[in-house]
Amino acid sequence: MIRSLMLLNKCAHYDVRTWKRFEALGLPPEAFIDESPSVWDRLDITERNKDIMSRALSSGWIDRELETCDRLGVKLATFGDAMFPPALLKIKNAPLLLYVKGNMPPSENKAIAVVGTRRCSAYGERAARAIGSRAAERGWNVISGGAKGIDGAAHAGCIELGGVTAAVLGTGVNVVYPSEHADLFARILDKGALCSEFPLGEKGESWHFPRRNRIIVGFASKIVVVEAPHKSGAMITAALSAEEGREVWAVPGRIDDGRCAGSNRLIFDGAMPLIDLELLFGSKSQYAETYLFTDEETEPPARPERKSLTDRERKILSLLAIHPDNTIDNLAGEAKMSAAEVFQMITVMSLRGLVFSSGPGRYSSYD
Amino acid sequence: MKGICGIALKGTQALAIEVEVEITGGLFSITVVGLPDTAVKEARERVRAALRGLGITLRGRIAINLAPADFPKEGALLDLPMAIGLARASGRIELEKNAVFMGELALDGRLRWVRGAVPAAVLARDTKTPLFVPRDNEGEVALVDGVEAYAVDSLLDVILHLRGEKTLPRIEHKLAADEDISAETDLEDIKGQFAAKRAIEIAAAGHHNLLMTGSPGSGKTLLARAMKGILPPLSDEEMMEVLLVRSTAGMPFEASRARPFRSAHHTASSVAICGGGANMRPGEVSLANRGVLFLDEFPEFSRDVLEALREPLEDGSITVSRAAGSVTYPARVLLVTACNPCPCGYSGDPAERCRCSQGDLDRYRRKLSGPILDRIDLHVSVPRLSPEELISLGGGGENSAAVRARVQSAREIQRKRWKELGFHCNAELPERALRRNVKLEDDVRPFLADAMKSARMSGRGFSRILRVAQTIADLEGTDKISVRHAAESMSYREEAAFGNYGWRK
Repeated sequence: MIRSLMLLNKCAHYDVRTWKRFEALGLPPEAFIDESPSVWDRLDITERNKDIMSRALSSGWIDRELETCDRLGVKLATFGDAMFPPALLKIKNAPLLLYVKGNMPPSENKAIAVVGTRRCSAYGERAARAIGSRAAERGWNVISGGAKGIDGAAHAGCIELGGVTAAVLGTGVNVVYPSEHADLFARILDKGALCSEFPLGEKGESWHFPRRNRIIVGFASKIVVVEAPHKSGAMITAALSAEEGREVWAVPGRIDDGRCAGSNRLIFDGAMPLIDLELLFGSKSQYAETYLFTDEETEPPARPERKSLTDRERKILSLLAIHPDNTIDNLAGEAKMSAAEVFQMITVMSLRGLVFSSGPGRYSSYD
Repeated sequence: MKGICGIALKGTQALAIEVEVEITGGLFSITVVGLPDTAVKEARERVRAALRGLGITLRGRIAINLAPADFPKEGALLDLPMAIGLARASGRIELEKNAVFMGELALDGRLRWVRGAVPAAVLARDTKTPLFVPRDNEGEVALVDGVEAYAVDSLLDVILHLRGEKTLPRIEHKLAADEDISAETDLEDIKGQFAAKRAIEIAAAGHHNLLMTGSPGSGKTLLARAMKGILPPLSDEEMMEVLLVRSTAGMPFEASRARPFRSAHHTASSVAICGGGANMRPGEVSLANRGVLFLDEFPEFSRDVLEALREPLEDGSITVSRAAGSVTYPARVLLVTACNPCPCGYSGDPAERCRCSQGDLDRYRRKLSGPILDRIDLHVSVPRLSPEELISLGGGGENSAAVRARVQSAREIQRKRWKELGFHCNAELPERALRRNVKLEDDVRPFLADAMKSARMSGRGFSRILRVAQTIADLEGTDKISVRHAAESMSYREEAAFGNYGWRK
């Protein structure tokens, strides 16, 4: 059975619906391979995919793939077996099988998907990180796509507080994409998992990513869109989530920023605006008057020392509070200091964690 | 060197070429031997016409040998020595003394400007030989001290002088004026950009290579041009180097102490940048010697060019090797580079949206890395200002002359400090010498240790911070580096200027 599923999955085109049609024929699973050409015709498999499968068969791809999985410690969770995440059984176009590296988080109902643009703002990154961390604290698992930007921040936030997170990849599970995330992927594996429906070694084709989004949706009971432009993968995911009846949340963004246009639109269309992290995890009334990054129940995080700041440093901080994303020039002009002095203060304050570089040549203060 | 000599150029050096002429009976013909190029071969027509204008008609079989025979000769500058050689061989003049002649002949005997007059003057001075150059070359030769040189208008002048019928005046040595540096772009004229102005001041003071990152229209090119106005004037020795290169390249002469500013386009070939070519000319990196080489759109330059720039940035000279031999040109430049923050140019821009995909960005950043980046001490971001920001800004700030005064005194401090070690400026100091010799205030070491940890700096990055901090201290007139200097220096790191987005490790 596993061999038949692997073969059909190799096309990266069919899902469990095709398999169900095959089972309806009343044949044993092996028949999919043994009676190959005739069975394939009855399932309306396209010429291109028949070609892919017959080539895989003649080259002994299945055996090699199984062997590689063994060697790399990659497990195969096929539709219907004990390892297959139950949450995924419910979606109509569930994958035929999943390649899993690491330990798949036990799927109760406590999994939250965090999605968003790869090119996020500093604010978006902070929000995603905060969601990841808070989820870890509340014992929720974080599901995301392992990409740069929002995805990466959510994974990282979760890992930092010892949470369990899974990345559903658009490449083979043994491919590190983006390559900067080698380190992050290794840390995800400590407790969580990397999984993918794509065969090993598969490169990230552009159509892979929308396809894998349905798996992210399948895993999670709630989904948060942090920052997403109008046409983006995150918006596809949000649309899928709505179809599958998942709770869709969106982080409100600035209205003049194209990176938030899609996520803001979701709010307009009825997604829940994420104005307080606690609301997301359902432990607070929707009408509680609290803010996103404060937490009254636990100790507030140690804030960097502000007492030792000089008046001039305070001045710069207050200017940054009014105008985030400010340049050295503007700061120097507004504070009536020389560029050299502003440079000095910015460096000192960024080392103390008060200020960060929010774009090329632009700086913002934390909170 | 004996007899009548011309010159050929090898790098920025002149090589004496003896011109021997033999006339034998037979049908009229002129043959030039000794690896002449086309311009030299064609000289026989110009020489013959010019001599006929003076009433000297050539007859018989004429052989002209240019020695040493195995060194390729090029250009029209050998016209004059060949004409003089022919005049002597046909008995019209007597010439006992050695002399160096150079100049291109017009058909009526006038002399035209040639390249290589300064190297020739240096050769003539060192060998104590008289030198005859065309009148148009007088200005540059005058800048060489202690040479017995004569400026001549025509072939007739030279022959009359050699016969003793007319005495030409010697070219008088003339120093270049001291205070005549006026760059077209004054810092005063650039609105805002105080951060970038500060960075170019530091770059100029310590001779640090600089990379400016900013969106199109943010003023990177203007800032680079302004750099010329804040560099200290050329010293006599440096000026001679600049003159030699310019003369070798055949560029018009300029008696100015302003440092050269050369800007190269990214489509330039590595020959155009490094020198070479069919007739061996110095490239942009040598023309910018002792001055600024500006490379706009830095990541667009071909790998070849960037790789080839490593040698000059390390050694201050560039060796061009060809089948015909290798020559070395001086190439001590202050490298000023500029690039966009991303391929479309608008990453991080407040007004325009960036249209690059993540892949585009990754590729772009990868192109920026590499060994040449190790040679760049200062990184500064030149953000494009939004219209509101532009309006709210005040005036232009200091003018170039004020900044230049500071730069000059900082250079003076460095020169004195590093004299014993044999360096001129902070940027020249290798890592080891630097770490051993800089003086730090007591609290700098713990500050930097902390900073290194939280900013994840490498050892090399650390040295770079010390080096730039030293220059900042020098600009202030203090020898010891304090926390202020180190902190400012840290904001010119690549990471700080580029900003960090996405997932932080």
